[in-house]
Amino acid sequence: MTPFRTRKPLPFVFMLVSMFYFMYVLSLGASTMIGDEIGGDPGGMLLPLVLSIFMFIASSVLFLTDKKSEGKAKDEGFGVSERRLFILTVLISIFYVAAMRSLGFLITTSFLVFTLTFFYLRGTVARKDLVSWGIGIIATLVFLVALYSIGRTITRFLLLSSRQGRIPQWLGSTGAVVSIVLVVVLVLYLLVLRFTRGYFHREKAKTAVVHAFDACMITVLTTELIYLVFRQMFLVELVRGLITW
Amino acid sequence: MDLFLQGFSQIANLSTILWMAVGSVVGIILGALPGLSATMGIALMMPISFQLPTATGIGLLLAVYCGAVSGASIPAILLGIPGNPNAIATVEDGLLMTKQGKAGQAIGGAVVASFIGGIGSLLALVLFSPVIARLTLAFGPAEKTTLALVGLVIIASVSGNNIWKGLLMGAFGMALAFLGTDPFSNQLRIPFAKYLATTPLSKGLDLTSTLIGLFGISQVFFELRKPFAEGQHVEPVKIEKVFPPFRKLISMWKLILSSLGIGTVVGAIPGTGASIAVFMAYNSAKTISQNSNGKLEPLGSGCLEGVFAPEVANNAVTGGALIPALALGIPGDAATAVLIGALMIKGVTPGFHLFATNMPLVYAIFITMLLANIFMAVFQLLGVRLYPKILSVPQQFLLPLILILSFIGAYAIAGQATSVGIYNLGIALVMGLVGYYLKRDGYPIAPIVLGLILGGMFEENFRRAVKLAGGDYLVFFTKPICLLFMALSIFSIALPIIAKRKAKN
Repeated sequence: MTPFRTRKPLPFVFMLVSMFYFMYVLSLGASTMIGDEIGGDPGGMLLPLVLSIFMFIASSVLFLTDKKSEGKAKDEGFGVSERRLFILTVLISIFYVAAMRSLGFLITTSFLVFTLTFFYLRGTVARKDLVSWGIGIIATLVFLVALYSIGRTITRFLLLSSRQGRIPQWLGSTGAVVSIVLVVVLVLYLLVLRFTRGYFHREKAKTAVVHAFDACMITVLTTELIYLVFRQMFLVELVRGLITW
Repeated sequence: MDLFLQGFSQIANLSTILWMAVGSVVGIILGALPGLSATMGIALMMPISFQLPTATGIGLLLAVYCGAVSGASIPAILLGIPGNPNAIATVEDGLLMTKQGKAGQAIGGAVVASFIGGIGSLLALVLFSPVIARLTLAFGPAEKTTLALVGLVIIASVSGNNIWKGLLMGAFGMALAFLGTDPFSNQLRIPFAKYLATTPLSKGLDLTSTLIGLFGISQVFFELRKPFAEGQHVEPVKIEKVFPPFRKLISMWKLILSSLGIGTVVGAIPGTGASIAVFMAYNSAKTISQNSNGKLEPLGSGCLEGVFAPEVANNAVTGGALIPALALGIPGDAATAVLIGALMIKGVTPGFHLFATNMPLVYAIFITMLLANIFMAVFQLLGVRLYPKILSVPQQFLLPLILILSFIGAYAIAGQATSVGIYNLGIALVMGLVGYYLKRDGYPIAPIVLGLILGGMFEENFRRAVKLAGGDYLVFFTKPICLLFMALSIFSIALPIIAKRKAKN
C-alpha cells in the first residue's frame, strides 16, 4: 500500500506549498531596509525562509503521523446528494465571483440565492427539477426587478423633489429615503406573498414547484434588503451590470 | 473626566444605540442557531461596522459577540444542543430544568448569569487593561517580537488536538501576512508579481475578506457535508417565572464569584476560550455546592446553580479576552482576533499606543461593552418566548443567506472601488475553500488569524530589534522580558505534550 492511501493529502499539499514558498522567496532575492548602508538589517528574506522551513518540517511530521483512518468517521453522512450539493455550491460561488462584473449584483445575487435555496430544499441536484428551477429563476428575476424599479423610482423622486424644494428637505435624507423605500417594498412583497402563498401551498406535498416558490420569495426579500442596506444606506457601489437603471 | 466625556460623546447618539440593538439581536440569533459561532457573527458584521464610525462599529461587533455567547444557552436549555461550544456545560442542568417545567427560570437564570459575567469581567477589563498597557512602555522591538511570538505559539499549541497542526496553521497565517509588499524596502512579495503587481493583491490579502472566507464561507461548505438538519422542533414549553428569586442569587454568591474569576482569567489567557472556562467553572461550582451544607442544590440535578456557573463563566470570558487584546494587541480567542482585525482596519492599533493617544476611544469601547451586556440581557429577556421559534428555521434557508452575506460583506469593504470588491470576493471564496479543507481534516483556524494579525507586528519588530542591535541575533536572549516570553512560549508548547502523555499513561 502506498503511503498516499493511508495518509491524508493536506500535509502533502502543505509540503509542496512550503517548498514552493522556499524557492519563491529565494528567487525574490534579498532586500534590505531603505538606508541600511551600515548594515544590521536581517533583510526581508530571512523570516519567510525560516517560515517555509518550519512549515515543511511541521507538514512532514503530520504527513507521517496523521493517518486517514482517524478521519474516516468524518465522512459519514457525506453521501451522493450532499456531495452534489457541495459541488453545486462551489460552482455557483465561482460563477458568482466571475460573473458579478458583467451581469451585475441583482442578477448574480438572485441567481446564487435562488439556485442554492431551491436545490437545498430539494435535497439533491436532479435533472427532473431543472424545469421548475428555470421557471423559478425567471419568476424571481421578474419580481425582483419590478420591486427594484419601484424602489429606484421612489428614491429618484424623493431625492429630486427635496433638492427642488417641492417636498421637505428631510424627506430627501438617506435615512428617510431608505425607510420609505423599505416600507413600500415590504408592503408590496407581503401583498404578493399573501395572495400567492395559498395557491402554491394549497397541498401539503412539497413539490419542486412549491420549493421554487419558497426559494423565489426568500431570494427576492434577501436581495432587496441587501441592496437597500449596502447600496442605499452605506453607498457601496454594487455593480449594475445588465440592469442599468 | 474630560477624556471619558469625549469617549461618551462618541457613542451617545441614536445610530450607535440602534446598531448595537441590531447587533445584540443578531448575536443572540446566531448564538442560538447550532453550528454558527460568535466568531462567524463578528466576521459577517465586520463590513457593516466598517461603514460606521469607529466607536459605533466596535459597539456593533461587541454587541454581536456578547449576544452570541449568551444566545448559545437557548438551544442548550430547550433542546440539549448547545448553540456553540460555549454552552456545552449548560446542557446538563438546563435541559433537566426544562423537563421539570422550569424552562423559563433556566433561560432567565442564564440571562442574569450572562449579565453578571459580562459586567464583572468588564470591571476587570477597565481595571487591568490600562495597567497592562502601561507595562508595555518597557517594551522595545525585541520584547514586542517575543510578545507576538508567545501569543502565536500559545494559541497554536492549545487550538485543536494536535500541536503540529496548530503550529503549522500559525506559520501558514504568518506566511499569508507576509504577502504583499516588504514594509521596509517596498519590494513586492507576491507570486506571479509580473501579473499581480498592478492588482489589489500587491498590498497583501484583504484581512476582512480573508476572515469572512475562513469563518463564514468555509462554515457553509462544511455544513453541506452532512444531511440538512430540519428546523428543530421545540415542544411548546411554559415559560414563566423568568427571574430567579433574589434570595437564591444571594445564596449563590460564592459560586458566582468563582465562575466570574475563572471566566475572566481563562479568557485573558490567549487561546483558551469559553469552552474551557465553562467546564472549570462547572467543576468548581460542584465543589462549592457540596461544601454548602445543603444551602445549594447539587449540580446535575436540574438546578439553577448548574446553569449559573457556566453562564457566568462564558460571558466573563468576553471581558477577559479583551484585556490582552486591547492592552497588548494579543487576542484572547478567535472572536477577539477578529475584533482586533476590525480595529486595525479602522487604523486603530491596540496596545499602549491606543491608551496613550486615543483614550476617548478606549472609554467608548468600555461603555459599549457595558451597553452590549445590557442589550444582551434586555433583548434575551424580551424575546424569551420568541427565540425558541428561531430554532425551527431550516438550514436550507440559512446557508444560502450566510453565503451571500459573506460575499457581500467581502465586496462591501471596498466601498466605491468595484474592482477591489471583485478581488475581495475572489479572496473570500479561495479562503473559504481553504478553510473548508482545513476544518475537514481537523486543522484549527484560529492560529491562521493570529498569524495574519501578528505576522506584520512580528516581522517589523524582529527586523527593527536586530537592526538596532547591529545585526546581533542574540539580542533576544539578553533581555529579561524576552527571556520570560520565550520561556512562556516553550512552556505552552510543552504543556499540551506533557498533558497528552499523562493522559495516555
